[in-house]
Amino acid sequence: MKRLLIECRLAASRPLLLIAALFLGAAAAALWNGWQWRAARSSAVEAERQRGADELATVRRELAAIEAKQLDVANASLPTRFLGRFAHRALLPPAALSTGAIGEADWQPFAAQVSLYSVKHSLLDKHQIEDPLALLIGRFDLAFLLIYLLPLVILAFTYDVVSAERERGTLTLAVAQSGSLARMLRAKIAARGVLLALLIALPLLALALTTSLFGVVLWAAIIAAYAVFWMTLSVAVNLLGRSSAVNATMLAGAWIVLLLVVPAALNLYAARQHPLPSRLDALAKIRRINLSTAESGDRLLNQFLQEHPDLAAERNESGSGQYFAIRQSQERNILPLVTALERQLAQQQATIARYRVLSPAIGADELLLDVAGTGRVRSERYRDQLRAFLDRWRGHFVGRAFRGGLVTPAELDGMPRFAFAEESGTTLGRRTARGIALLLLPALLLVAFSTWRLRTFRGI
Amino acid sequence: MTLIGKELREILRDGRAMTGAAIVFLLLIVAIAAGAQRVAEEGRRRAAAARAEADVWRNQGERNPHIAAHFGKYALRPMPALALFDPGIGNHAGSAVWIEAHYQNPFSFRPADDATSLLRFGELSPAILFQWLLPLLVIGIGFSMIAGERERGTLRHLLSLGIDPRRLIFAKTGALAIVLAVLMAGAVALAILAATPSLPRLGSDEIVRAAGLAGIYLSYLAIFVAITIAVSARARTARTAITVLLAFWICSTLVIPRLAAEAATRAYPLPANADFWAAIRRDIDRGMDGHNPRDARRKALETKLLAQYRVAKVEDLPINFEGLALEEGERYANQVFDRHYGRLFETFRKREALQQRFAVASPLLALRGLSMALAGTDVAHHAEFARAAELYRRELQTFLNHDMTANARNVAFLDYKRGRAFWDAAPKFAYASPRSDFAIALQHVSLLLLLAWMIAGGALLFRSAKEVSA
Repeated sequence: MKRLLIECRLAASRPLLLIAALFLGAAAAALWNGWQWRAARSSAVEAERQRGADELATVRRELAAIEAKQLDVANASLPTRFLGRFAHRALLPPAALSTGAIGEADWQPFAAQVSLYSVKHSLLDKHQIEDPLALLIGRFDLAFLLIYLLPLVILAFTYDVVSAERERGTLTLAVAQSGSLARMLRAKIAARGVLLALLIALPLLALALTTSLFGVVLWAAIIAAYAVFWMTLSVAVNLLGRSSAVNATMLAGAWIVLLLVVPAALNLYAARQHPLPSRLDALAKIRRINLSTAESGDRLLNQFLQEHPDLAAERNESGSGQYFAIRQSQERNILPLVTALERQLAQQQATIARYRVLSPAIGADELLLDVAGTGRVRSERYRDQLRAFLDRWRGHFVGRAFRGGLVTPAELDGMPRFAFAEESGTTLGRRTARGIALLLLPALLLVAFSTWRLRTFRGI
Repeated sequence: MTLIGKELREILRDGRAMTGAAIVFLLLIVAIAAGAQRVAEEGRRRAAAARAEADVWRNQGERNPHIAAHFGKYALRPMPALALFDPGIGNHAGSAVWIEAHYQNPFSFRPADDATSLLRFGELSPAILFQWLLPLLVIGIGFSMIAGERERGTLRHLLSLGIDPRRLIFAKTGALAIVLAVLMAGAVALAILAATPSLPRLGSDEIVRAAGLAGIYLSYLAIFVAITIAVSARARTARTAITVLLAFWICSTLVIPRLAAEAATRAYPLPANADFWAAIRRDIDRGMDGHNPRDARRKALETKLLAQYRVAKVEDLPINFEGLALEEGERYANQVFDRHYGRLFETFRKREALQQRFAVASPLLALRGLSMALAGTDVAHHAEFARAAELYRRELQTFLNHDMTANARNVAFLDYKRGRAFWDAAPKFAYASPRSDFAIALQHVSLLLLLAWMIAGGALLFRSAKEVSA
């Protein structure tokens, strides 16, 4: 213990303390950014919820006024007059840990309006107005700091752990003092590990204050595994026996390869393995389907009523039944095109998951976002739950819409409401544990390499 | 000259430097070839989608013009040829606009929507290699050129021979620059040869743009060469040199650009998507001043027309009232769109301008905006296409509504129909990309800051050369 403290004091040189201070400052800024983003997203979700509540209140008010003969039906707003227009806002609340990782949540949709006229393939149409430049550059959040900058801090702490002693001419002495090179290295790495752990623990503790402890614990495990990889890499490079300057260039090269080259190359490879028919290609087909369905509204309505004879008896003569039938037919024809795209993309994603062992940065990033709830898993769950909810909505309202007439306040009370169901902690925990194991695999290889090098090391 | 030769031989003998150079060389070739293929594919895809759209429009059958207006059309942005070098915001900006009645739509069909989660790590585009990797290579080759000699004691030896330290430094700078130039020219030439079949044909304006790109990237790398040699000349050990240079690289490429983007986002926030649309709907429904609702506008139009044509009933008008009401509705809504989209694009522009200023601390930021602008893949080019598409939308709506106003008298709204000859006669969308002076117009600050960095780098190099000592 005393030995460790001495090593810590030795390791904490002035430049390293400066780097640590800079890192902590950046972490504070990143957390503040994430916190601000989450607050803004919360209020955007709340504003949407309020809009939905206002609309519902209007409908209720108008229904009461119509009943009291104070309002003519023709003057009521559209949602009151046509049940098909009446929409429910199905919202995705910001994820618990999005303060730490904004991830893909800055461009994935978080609000949808579900009505009888909604179709599954365009529930989440992305007619959004984000700043494309901001999307390109990415956010300055804690996840960015941990994935991109933490490795550089680790490398700054460790790149010369052996070479510096040799360059000062003190290596022989230090090894003699410790008993062996392996023991000297263990002591030095343990000391740096303690300092780095402190450095990581501070922002994570701050994060834990704002959100669920479970997620932060998973994050700590992911980051620890990621940090271990970079430390073992640095030790392995040190044991090649080159100068500190050479170590620094080699490690910087490794950083570039693992954070820039491998992800981009893997992306290209996955796209080649499972080429995606682009949405633009599907556009022509979708347009033709829309055109032909719009032309044949009557035919489609008749077809729909043949398939649903129970509704035929209740058919009212407004155009809304026809429109509903058109939308149903569009969905039946277009949804397969869209799900084919989604399936293909999921396969690309699976290819990447298989090869992410090639770059721990990819693995760690994906795990952090997954736990934070700002990766693909949560947004796909939202999409699937929305589609299931649309079925519930239709089940509840279709018969009523075809019977015609105004909805009653009691019917409004009984309408389905969307509540996003989060994934269970066990499923997430298991998936994360598997990911961390994969993350540790390259570290194990590096440890094996270093053990072998330690036996044959002649740099002393 | 012999000094440069000696320095060149030393770089070529440095196995590590040559390995790094070989890797960068290969990556450059792969990136340029992949970029050319991507641009060709995406260009074909967009051209095919545009053809299919024209075909659907033409063959929509007998319909009411306003129904056709609602069915609408997609306007596709042609792929800029130089996107093969710098894809810019392309993946995140959407490639098509839906042209429909009553609404100016934002862009849809972002390539990012169809991408895996790895897109966020960035694409291996030639621009990214030049911006990130080549400076690192410069640092990797150059950091020890003087500091290393000082450590080994050979610098003292050379200086004691009476060699002018300035000549020595400039020889080293020259050698580093030559290695880099050969590497870049070789990779670009080889890649162009390899990718010839899928290379887009460049027009004269694109050649000007490409020359501009070559100029700014050479300046960018020159800045790094000057700073690397200067730091190497001043650092006591090679280790100090590499630490300082890597710290500079990390700040310039990694930290400051993201901080700048974050500051810009904070300084000029965007409305939430739903708020943006709610505001547009409110302005259209209740009037932009809140006191001129849609019904009142329609009523006022009716009164005005009845007085103008001296008739008592709408049915007696010599024109179709619905058609004119639609035209008026479009005219009013256009003012609303101009206001809201105007603000949106103004926010984008202000954000970019703020980020440009951070280039004081990062040569990459001075370069990035210029590069995207010259490649035609920046926000300004995007906005320019949006503007052209919206002008076309208005032209098309006017054409369709005007026909109803003039010809659809005494017919029930939906019974008035038009056929293929009419669809063929409708205005067509043709987009010509703006010329290179448009690209430069918004980038004066970047250009100035890039120049300032060059001057600063040069000055630093000269001073270091004067003060170099063993």
